[in-house]
Amino acid sequence: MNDELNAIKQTFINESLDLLEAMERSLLKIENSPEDQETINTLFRSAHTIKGSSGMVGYYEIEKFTHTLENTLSSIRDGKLSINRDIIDLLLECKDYISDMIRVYAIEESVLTEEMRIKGDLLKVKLQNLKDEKKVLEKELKESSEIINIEGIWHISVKFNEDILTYGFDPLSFINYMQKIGEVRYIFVNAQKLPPLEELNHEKCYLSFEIGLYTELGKKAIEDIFEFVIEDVKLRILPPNSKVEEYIKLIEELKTDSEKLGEILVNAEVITKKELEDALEEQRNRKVLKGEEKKIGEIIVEEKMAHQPVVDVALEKQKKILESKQRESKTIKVDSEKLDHLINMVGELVIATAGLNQQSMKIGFKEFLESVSIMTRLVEDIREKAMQLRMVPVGETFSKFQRVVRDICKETGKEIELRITGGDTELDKNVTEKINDPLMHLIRNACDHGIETPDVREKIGKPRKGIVKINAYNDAGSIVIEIIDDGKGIDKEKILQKAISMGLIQDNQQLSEREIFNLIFHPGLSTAEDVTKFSGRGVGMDVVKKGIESLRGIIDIDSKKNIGTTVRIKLPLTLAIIDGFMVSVDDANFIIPLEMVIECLELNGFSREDTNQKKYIDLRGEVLPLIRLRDIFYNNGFLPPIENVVVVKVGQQKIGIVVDKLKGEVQTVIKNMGIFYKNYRHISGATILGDGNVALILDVQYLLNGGLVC
Amino acid sequence: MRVEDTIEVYVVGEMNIYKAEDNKKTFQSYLTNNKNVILDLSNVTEFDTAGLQILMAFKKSLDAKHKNLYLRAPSELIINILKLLKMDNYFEVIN
Amino acid sequence: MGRTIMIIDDSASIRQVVSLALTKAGYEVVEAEDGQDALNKLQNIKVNLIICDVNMPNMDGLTFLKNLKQLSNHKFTPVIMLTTESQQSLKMEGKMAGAKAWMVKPFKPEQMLEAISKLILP
Repeated sequence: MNDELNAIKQTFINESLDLLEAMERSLLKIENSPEDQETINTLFRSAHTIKGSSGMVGYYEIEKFTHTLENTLSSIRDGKLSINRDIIDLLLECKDYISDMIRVYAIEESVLTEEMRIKGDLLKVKLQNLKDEKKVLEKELKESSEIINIEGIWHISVKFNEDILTYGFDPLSFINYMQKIGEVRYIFVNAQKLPPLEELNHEKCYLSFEIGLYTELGKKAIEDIFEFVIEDVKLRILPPNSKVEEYIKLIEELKTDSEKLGEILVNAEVITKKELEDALEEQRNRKVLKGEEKKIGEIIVEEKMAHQPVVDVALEKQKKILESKQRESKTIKVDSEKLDHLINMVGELVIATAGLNQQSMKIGFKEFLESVSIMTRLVEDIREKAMQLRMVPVGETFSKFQRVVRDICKETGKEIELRITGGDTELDKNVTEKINDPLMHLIRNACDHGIETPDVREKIGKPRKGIVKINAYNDAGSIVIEIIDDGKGIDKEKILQKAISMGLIQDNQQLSEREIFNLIFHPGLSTAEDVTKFSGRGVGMDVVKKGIESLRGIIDIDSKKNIGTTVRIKLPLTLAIIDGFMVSVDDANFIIPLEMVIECLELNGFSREDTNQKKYIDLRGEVLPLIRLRDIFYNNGFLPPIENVVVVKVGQQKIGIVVDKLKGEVQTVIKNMGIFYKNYRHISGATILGDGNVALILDVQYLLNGGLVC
Repeated sequence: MRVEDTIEVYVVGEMNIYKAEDNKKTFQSYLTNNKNVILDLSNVTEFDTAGLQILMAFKKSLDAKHKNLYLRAPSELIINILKLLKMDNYFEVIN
Repeated sequence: MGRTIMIIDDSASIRQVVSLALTKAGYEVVEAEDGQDALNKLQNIKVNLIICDVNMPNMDGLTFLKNLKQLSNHKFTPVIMLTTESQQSLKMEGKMAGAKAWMVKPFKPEQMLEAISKLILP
């Protein structure tokens, strides 16, 4: 008996495997010639035979599955269902599944794993859906001639809280309602969790649903179907592929200032608020439970709330918004007057604090002293920060030169690259504005007179493309800006000749290289043979130098033949603070900008009467004109026993400023004088000293040019 | 389908959550017979998820015993729901 | 198949408006003036859905709901609670008590019909 049974089984196995092979051949053949009725018949007969024999031998699962397959094949045979690639794929999958079942049941004499069972159920559903799809299509084609957009199907995944039934809600009613807003194209009722009857808890909901809904409406409308149970349902609404482009457009056009990805997606109506909350919760859960660090975008895609391309576009958008936000946060436009006002107030605060400090010393109460010293420190910090408010990166000014260089190249046929480095070095806003013109001139000079034409460069073994570098860096409380070109350099001989012909220097005068180059800053001394559109006309290097000096800066030049020229500008970081040299006449304090001070000497070596008349002294063989501050600001008063002379240099000129006392270096905050003092031109401002006293800042240049030299 | 292998069960009235417990007990009692089951659903007046789950679970249990479940003349209400869920082919319906 | 809906509200006019809309849509309607009245009426009839005001004399909506959940032949009936914007805090309490579906008064009859068709089969 057993042997007989085994023999039957063996026959079944051999027969079925042969038939399955035949099926596969048929399917592949049909794929190429879908109209081949003979092959379709063969296919059908194969399935039919497997179904019959598996039932006979007692493999009911194989029988049932093949039954479903047979139904589909009969639809194909009868022309109710037309063959396409997807169907062939599905049928091949079914064939493989049957052969797996035969292996498990007949060969291994075992049972299907849960995984295989689910696979079988899914295949069955797919086979049934094939038929339904056809029916729907047929029905609709009959009802309306309109072409149906199969693409426009939303995939909705619904999983209810298992207690939903006891709340009085029937999942079926929600699904039924879907028909009101669209057309249910497919449903897969997932009964994976449903136990056999014996173990069923009749009040629990085990079913979940995968629904294909065709609707014109959006995600919110679909979500609203479940509005009353939204807290008791796990809902995933994946938009149709056809929506992807629409969403991408929506996101791109979206006006939002939120930089959060989730909110961008919600605003573009790609996902709903509820979905976002779910996704965020999922994100938290994964982190807490699995230690996974997932980005919200990844969760949204994984949870089938939106398509990857849509999320990608949203990420792009997010990046843009973030960038623009950062730009916004980098700069706040403030009226510079307000800023000046603030800085003045801070100045007052510094002074008031100094006053407080002195009072506290007098009182000498320990705790009080401590408090005051803390406050003093804080106020100092505030002053520093307030000064920084005026500081802006120089890069913005520099980048404007790109255009200038480009235009020059176009005009002259030169090839020049402008390289900017140190653009984030900060400089006082006012200085930045005023530095623009001198820099522009220097860049033009470099391009115009420095860099050679490509052909010339090639001939002398340089790359055709010339390089002009503009570089900024901080150096000991100053900022240095360098304009470096790799051009032909400055012709020393030409400068010398011109300087001699102009009478600037003597024929036999010995000058250092540097001194020669610096001659270029003299008015009228331009070595360029041709005046071009860009430089060399009128505005000479002398104007550049004046501009720099008005900013209390220093300009310096260095050049090597055929290697290039470097112009170095050194500027104070801010106009609001200067390093000053304090002097006094009687009890009045004056500040001389430190960088102008060359040396100090006592006047006692000369007779006072002498100097009173001559108003100059002989300084090591040089004539040094003198200015007496006492003469400018005081008509009388007691002369001190010893007067001092501060030798200052402005441009090429040196003068001596005669004062009573030298008080040394101070860092001073410049406060503008009120309008009341606007006629006192020899004073450029004032500063208030730590002890509360006022010091006036001398405008040395005015003193010099104002003909006040004694 | 041989008559002696099959048992017929009539369900009358509600097949919803209120009657779920009763229906479950009734159906369960037929599992022990080891026979195919014909459920006559022509007089069912209410049908919901709870009712559907019981039918599906019943089928599952019968499947495990290699027995079949047939639904006979389900009322329009049930037909509509099966259609809605595209489960027309899930149960074997006879008339 | 005939679907029966119960409307519980102490305002006769609200009952009337809802009742009219529902009847027009083909539903059978049973009216009750408050929770107690509704419980009395439910002893003899079965309904498919209950619309219930929150604020009512004699027995308020939430108390009614708690009682309903004790009745084996009614406890699985869906209930839509009616509330006004100002009673949102009640909603939290109500959800705890099992009132899941809420509608804010005033509402249009169509909104009510939509809600009903989401909650029960036709």
